[in-house]
Amino acid sequence: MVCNYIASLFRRNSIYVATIFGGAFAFQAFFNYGVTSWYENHNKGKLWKDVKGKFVEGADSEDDE
Amino acid sequence: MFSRAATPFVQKVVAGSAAVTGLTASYLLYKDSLSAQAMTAAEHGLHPPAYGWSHNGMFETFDHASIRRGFQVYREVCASCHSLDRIAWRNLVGVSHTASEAKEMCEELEYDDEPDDEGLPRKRPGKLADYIPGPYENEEAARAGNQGALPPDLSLIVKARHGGCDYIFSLLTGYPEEPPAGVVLPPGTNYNPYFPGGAIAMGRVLFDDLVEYEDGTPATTSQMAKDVTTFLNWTAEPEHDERKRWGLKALIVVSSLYLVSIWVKRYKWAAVKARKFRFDPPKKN
Amino acid sequence: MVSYVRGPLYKSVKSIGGLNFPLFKTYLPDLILWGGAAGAGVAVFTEGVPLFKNTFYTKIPYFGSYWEYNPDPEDVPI
Repeated sequence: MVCNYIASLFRRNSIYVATIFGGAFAFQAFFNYGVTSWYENHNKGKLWKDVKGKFVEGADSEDDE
Repeated sequence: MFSRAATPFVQKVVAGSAAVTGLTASYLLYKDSLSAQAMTAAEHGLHPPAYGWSHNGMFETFDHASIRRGFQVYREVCASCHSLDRIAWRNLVGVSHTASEAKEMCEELEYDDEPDDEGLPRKRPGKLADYIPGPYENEEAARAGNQGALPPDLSLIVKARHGGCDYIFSLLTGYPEEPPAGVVLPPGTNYNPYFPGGAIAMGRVLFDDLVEYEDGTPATTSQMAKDVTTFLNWTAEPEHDERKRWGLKALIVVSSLYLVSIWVKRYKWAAVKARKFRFDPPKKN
Repeated sequence: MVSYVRGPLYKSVKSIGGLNFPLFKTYLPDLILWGGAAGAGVAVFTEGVPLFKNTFYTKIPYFGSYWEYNPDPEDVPI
């Protein structure tokens, strides 16, 4: 049961604290990654990395508009 | 006696005085718009319309191509009078220019170096860490070169003026061919309805095809005004793009926590809210 | 005759500063878990430190590339 797995996180204080910190570490990385991807996709074509290729010759224009 | 309903005569008097008051106020407002003395609408300047800037909105970044074109306009047009004290060459890197482009631009300029062994001043080519130099040595020189008017520093001008971008854009594009009839301007000033008071020392500077954009964008007056305004908005708020990204993160986290707190409250109170009291009176004998 | 014992016979386990081996053995799993918790706590607060990023976090499978920092040298004002 899922409930048993969740309950096992609370049984020992050490596991509880480790879950909190581990979750925080994973969350901040995934959350920042997700938000940044959305933000950069939402503003595609306006960011410097998107317009760089238009002005600078020979720049790595991997992000072509 | 006081509860009596108003007679038709009283009603007419009230309606008539309301109409007279409204018409008088309208007439005074109209008269006010005709003159440009102190404490009139003209003194405060025409309010600019709200334009649809590409960076309007909670999650919109600056248009960096526009920032780059705007810097070109600043450098070729505005920089002959206006300084940009708070922007260093390094600030352009990764925003509108590459490191080598910024280096190329600053190395054309001379900055004060440390004095040599005999204490004589020396010069050196610019570095990325140097700030963009202004056109005048000091305020007095700036005033002397502009008939007593001081061209303001443009680093924070978008934040420093009511209306922000809309005002700057309207001001740059709002010079009429001729001042309206009856407007008396002090010597050395030009008419601009958006400028508080209407008399501005700066003349119209942007004309079609004044600069040549490297990306082929047609350099119309309004295009240049839009680009330079976007650039000046960036100089005023270089943190803008990052700030909005962090704002998005903060909104997500804080609103999730808010919803969680509501859920916890309802959960904790459920027993209290759902309980039922029943009183069974003792049976009478 | 009943032979009485005068008292219990105490036998002390070798210990260092109040800690002994059987006790340590019972604590061991919990200590390991606490060590993991402390490590995760350190990870949370060093997530942005380049030394930690390059030494540990870039080596996380699948998602490690998130901590890699390879900007275009033209975008770095040096």
